[in-house]
Amino acid sequence: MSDKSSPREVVVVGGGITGLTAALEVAGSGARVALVEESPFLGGLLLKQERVVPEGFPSVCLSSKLVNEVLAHPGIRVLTNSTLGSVRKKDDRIKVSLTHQPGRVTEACNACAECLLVCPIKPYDSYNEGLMLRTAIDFAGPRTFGGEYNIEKETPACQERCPVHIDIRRYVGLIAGGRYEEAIRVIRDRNPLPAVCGRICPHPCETVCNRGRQDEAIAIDALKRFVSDYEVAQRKAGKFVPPKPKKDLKTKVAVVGAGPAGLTVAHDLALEGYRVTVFEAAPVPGGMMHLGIPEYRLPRDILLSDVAYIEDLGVEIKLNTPLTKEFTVDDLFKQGFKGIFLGVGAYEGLKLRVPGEDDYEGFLDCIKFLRDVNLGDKTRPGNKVIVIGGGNSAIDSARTALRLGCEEVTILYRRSRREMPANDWEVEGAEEEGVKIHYLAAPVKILGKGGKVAGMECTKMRLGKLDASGRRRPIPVEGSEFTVEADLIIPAISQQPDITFLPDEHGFEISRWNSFVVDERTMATNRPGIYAGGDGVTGPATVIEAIRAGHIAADSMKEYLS
Amino acid sequence: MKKPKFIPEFKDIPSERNRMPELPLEERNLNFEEVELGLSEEMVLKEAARCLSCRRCIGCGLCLAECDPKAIVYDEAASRVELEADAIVFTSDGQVFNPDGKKELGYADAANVITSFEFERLVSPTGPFGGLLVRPFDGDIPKRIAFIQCVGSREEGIGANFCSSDCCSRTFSQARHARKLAGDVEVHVFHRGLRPVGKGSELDLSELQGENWIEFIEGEVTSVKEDPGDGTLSVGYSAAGETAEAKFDLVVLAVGVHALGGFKRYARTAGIRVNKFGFIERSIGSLIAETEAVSFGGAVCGPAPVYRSVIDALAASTRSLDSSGAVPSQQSPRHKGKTFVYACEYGLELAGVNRSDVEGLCIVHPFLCYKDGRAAMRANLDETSSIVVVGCHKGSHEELFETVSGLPRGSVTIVGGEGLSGDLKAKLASVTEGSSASQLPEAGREKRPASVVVVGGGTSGLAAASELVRRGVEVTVVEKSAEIGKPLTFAAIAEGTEVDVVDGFVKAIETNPVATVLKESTVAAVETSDGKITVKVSTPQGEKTLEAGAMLMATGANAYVPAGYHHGEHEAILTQSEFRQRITGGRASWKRVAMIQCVGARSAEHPYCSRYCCKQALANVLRLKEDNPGAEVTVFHRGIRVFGFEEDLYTDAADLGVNFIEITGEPRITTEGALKVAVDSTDGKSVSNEFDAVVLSVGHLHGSDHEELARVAGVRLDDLKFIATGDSLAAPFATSASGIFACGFGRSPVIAEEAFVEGVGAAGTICKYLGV
Repeated sequence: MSDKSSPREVVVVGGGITGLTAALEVAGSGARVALVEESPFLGGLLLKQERVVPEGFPSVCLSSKLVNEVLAHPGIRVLTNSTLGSVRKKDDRIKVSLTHQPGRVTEACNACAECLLVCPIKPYDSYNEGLMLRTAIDFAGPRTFGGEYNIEKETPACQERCPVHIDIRRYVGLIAGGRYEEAIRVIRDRNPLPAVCGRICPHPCETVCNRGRQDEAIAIDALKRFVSDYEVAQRKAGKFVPPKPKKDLKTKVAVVGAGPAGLTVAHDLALEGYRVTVFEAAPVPGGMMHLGIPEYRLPRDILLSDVAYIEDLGVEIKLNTPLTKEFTVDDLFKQGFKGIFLGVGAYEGLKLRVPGEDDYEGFLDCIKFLRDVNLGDKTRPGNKVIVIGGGNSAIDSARTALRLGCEEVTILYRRSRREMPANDWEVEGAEEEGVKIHYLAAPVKILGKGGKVAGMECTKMRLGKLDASGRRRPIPVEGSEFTVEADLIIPAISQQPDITFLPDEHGFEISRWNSFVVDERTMATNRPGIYAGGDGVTGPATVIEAIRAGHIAADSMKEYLS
Repeated sequence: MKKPKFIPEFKDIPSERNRMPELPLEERNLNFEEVELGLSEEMVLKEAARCLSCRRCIGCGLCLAECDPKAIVYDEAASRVELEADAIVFTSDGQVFNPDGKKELGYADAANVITSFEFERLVSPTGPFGGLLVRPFDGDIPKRIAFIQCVGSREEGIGANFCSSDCCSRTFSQARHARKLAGDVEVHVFHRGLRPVGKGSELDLSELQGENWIEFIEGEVTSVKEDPGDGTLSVGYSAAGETAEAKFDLVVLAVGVHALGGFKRYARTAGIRVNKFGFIERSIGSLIAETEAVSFGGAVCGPAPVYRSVIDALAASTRSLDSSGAVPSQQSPRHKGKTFVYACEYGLELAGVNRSDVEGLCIVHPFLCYKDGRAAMRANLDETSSIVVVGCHKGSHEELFETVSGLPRGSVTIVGGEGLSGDLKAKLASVTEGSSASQLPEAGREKRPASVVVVGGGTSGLAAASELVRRGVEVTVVEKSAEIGKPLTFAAIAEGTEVDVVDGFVKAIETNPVATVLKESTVAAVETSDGKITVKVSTPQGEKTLEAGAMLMATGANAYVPAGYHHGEHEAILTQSEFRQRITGGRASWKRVAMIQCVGARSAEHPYCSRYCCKQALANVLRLKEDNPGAEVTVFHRGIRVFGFEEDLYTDAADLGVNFIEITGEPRITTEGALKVAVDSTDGKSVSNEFDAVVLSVGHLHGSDHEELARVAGVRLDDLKFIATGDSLAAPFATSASGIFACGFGRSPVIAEEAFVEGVGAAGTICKYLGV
């Protein structure tokens, strides 16, 4: 029960006739009302039904009466465009949290309707059930009614889908107007590695692009690449003005791993003014972007240009400096780092678990294989190569092997083309270049001769019911075994983090897949001040996913450090 | 939402996606040169121009440039709002069923197949065709329209085995409107049993059934196909055991309303249970248990017709308040000036008055209560002392215009409804004069006493009494029998609520210090003066005089006494209530049972559905089958009228093999020798069968009680002899006499849950009237 001296407060959910009537009744008794409605206008379903005359009372008149009375009532706070988040009861009080989408038209509006004449955007009019078009700036509800103008500026599908929510529509619009420098700034606002992503991002934004329903999606990633290259060219021509941190906070932060997650954290925190040092085990920066992705997809000068941008912010990258059992996170704290981010990646290839796997020479995990090549070892590793797996690393390995001069490269994948996780355009490229792909085939046993790999016994598979991953489970077809000759076998079936660098008493919560367990909302590990993200948390994923994790971690680290 | 074919496709930015140039295959040999070469600047500019901006604001700034008051803020961001309150009321509308998935009805592909909600917009004056009825395919005026009922309702297969309650009545409205718009249009309504809802709707239906331009076909629509050449639709259906096909120009799918997807989650956080369809299913038990912190009404409680939603709203809002009292509204000083007369063109159109009849007498506006209409009204405000509005709704819109104009209470007079007939000119002149001279609300008028006489201790009466005492209002319940709460207990038992719960509820009223219950008592006289009501009650202890601020007529229903059915002459001919007692007493071991629906209801004398009897009959059938699975039950009916979740009872009974036979005319019962029922079924057969028992579903009728009370209190009855209440959507409980209210069966047929809700709502209306 509320105190007698203060009026009772009531939340009414729903702006249809029931909600409007209830709100007026409650407010009429002196209580204060908050009326919450999800759509931009009041009146609900009945408002649209002008010709229904229930019990002799035209619905138009009812809606109009109720909406207008509610809008004019001083005791009713109208919250349209508001979505209910949670409702909790606490100590006789009800706590409600809402998300309010702005109407973008202020009360200064005098309903002259000039804006409707000039608006160039014509969406379907949902108020009229899509039977006609309206403008992007709209009346909420019917034209003559209530008169609440609003601009529906909802997040476009591409931006919604992008893991880091780049304002794609905006930069595409800027590019269309030839405003490249502004476009790259819009991209850089959410993505510290635009040149890299302009080449290797699997661009889920294009998959959801609404233009795809018309003909084909906008080539968003190619546009991003163009403006990123424009920036790279500016840098090469010495016309590039390096970015500056917002302030100097003097607080030291350590980032372990110069992959996309670590670089994003370094970028975000350095921009804020933190002094960031990145500890990288490899002799080159970039993590998997450098050690995994082949040069024919991502030229190194492009990658290094993105890294240089981050270094321009004052980030120090210490190469060849791995964490070890002797050099631990606790040592970092002792050196005065106040916060630590672990972006250690997932570098340990999973075992095939077939007989003969450890018995012969000529068996090379894809991660090790690609790393060696990417660090400069371009010797031909064999003649006949089998790659096992259907992801991008498998395709990368196969196309790399071809480029090293291997004569025959075969990919074995246990499901069909439909289920293959690799990007379509990569698979097509591989096939064009001459890679053979055996679908619905799986290894049974490694064959060897004189201590060296001689080939592999395989079996054909068929697809059964859906499994936990939502894909159809492959089942061996009995008696379908066949043999493929090979002198090099490259398994590329998946990876997990290599955490052997951790001392015995590390105190981290580690999952059964050897990954760091974090709070997904903050990327905080169970140890205070230590955050983690990227492949080291999720297992193998995309660069853009790692960037997303980096942003989240950086945001919560800022909060932690301040 | 449907993408119509008559809107041109977005072809305004035609160009193909620009392909990524690649390093030629032969140049990739033995090197690691980049394969993808990037788009050229020319390609990039073309590609970026392909973006459709998703047809949402791109912040281009054109509208801001045109906007004089600079009222546009492009970068306003979403925000979080935290609210804290004493109570929350859930009222969200449901979700209109999307028939895309029902491929056989052709909605997804055929332009001329639309939903009933799209039909509303199609014919709206503010819609795409300015109020004309044209078909989407080519803009032709349709000559033949088919309505298909129960799309997304009463369909077990899609998890929607409930009646959406409103669609039949909506179809009747829309068919009439189509006829009005496109003169010679022919309408076919394909249905699976009609369910018109509301006390006037049965008359409405029989009127339509008598028209030659509309045909009702009971059957199943199996396919709708559109001719791609001319847009003609072939509707394939099966009716009366035969399949047929008919051609139409437009097909309207009467789509049902489902529960809002997200509601379940809030229900869970608020500790509310929802049924398998995602709605809150109310029962007497849940209504009694409802607290003031969380209440609900409208579509969250199941699909409901508009007028039920309003009553729900009144009840839910009443529930959400406590006894902390109202803040009296301030009367502003009266303006000096003259009387302005305005007319609503839409209102005149509805009343059949020509605009020319009032031209010169008043300022006419298309919709007076819309924004520009109100603006016109405000323009004269400086000179206005009072306002007369012609063509609007009396008793509902006064407050709106007072609020809009800022004039004090009593400054707005409405001439509408019957007031529009006769010599309008003279009438307006007299109203204008009367209005200018109208008296101010009497200053210092005595506050109305915070006490209420509730006549009737049934479901709605007790619900109202309970709510009133909770708000601190003194209540006297006048009950003619020796016991209060009997119908409530009966309803509670039928639905399985513990009798203790009802007993506790009734006892709480009886023992409440501000409540008095007078049993075996009737109202002898009612006098109203100065906002005070004096009620003389005859009690076993002699006559008592009660003074109150208001009176509530909750007189409830009387079961029809069946005549001509040998009731009372044969021990195996019973009413449903008697039958129920036999079942619960374990004395219903009959093998063959006949039920006869609509006994005394939907007749010439009582041309309305009693609302209660089909539900009661089906509940009894299920209960009988539980105890006596071998019983063979035949239900003779004239269209089963169950609404909302009651549909489950119907399908359950059908699944148990209950034989439903639709009949015309009166069934003939013979008791000589064997007990026999002879009927004429709607498919033209005459059948006579032997039964062990015949159960009569007698209509519940408002009895002589309320007619007598209405006479004593000077309250008007409507054409159907129910208590005439105000506009059912604006003032559903107000009677023709000031200070006297009505709820429950006396004003319209209801089931027990509805009666309870009405009682709560009426209590709220009375509290507002009394200023508590």
